[in-house]
Amino acid sequence: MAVKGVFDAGPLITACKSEVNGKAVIDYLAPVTPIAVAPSVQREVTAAGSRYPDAAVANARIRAGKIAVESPVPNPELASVLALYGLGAGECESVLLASHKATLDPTTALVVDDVLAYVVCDRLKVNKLLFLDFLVALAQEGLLSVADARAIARAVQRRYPKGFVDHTLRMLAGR
Amino acid sequence: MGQKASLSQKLEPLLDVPTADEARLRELAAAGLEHRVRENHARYRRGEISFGRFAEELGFNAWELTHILEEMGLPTTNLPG
Repeated sequence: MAVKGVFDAGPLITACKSEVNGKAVIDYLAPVTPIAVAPSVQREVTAAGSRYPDAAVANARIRAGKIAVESPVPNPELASVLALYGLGAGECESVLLASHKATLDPTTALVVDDVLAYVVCDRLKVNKLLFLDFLVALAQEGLLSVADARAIARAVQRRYPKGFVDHTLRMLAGR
Repeated sequence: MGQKASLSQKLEPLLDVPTADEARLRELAAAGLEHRVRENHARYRRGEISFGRFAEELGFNAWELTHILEEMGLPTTNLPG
């Protein structure tokens, strides 16, 4: 079953900042799997869209409906746990959204590269993937060619520690 | 007895700074911001706060903070390694 992503701001920035063969990375991903963001992540995109080309890329994809904006269903209990941590509003909403969507479709995962948000998801048993592992999952499912996945991993490498990128390339080589 | 000066009247001379001083004030403000960015960046890298909270603490959003960190040559990730 195809993995579906709720993107936190970090991976969204990565996917809109980087290009492969002159094409934004987000344009490799959005056509092959549903991508959603929480409203607070969208608000940041809108606020930054006129100042930064990468935010403008995200803004255009949201306006075109290639990235869905979905509000999380209120979950006071989960929200109160998230408030215990040093998370921002975007991460909290993204976790709430991914948690709810995963109850409807267990193949949904929060795509997040922030260590604290990732660990909190782990403790809460909320599906989560690093952006690089999202690429691997798409390649494993045949939604993204291995060549494209490898090219994307290389294109985004300056946003990750070297070991994470090298490991990703090895995982993709095994496909 | 003369009328007491209002707060804004008292502050007015302080705001009337020469151009060179304005530049110095901007430098100081930038230095203060840089210090706060570095301080919160250390907390972010230790995993005490997320990137989103890091941005909120400084009044930025994630996109703005990403560009600021890149300009400062600081890592935008807190993944270890």
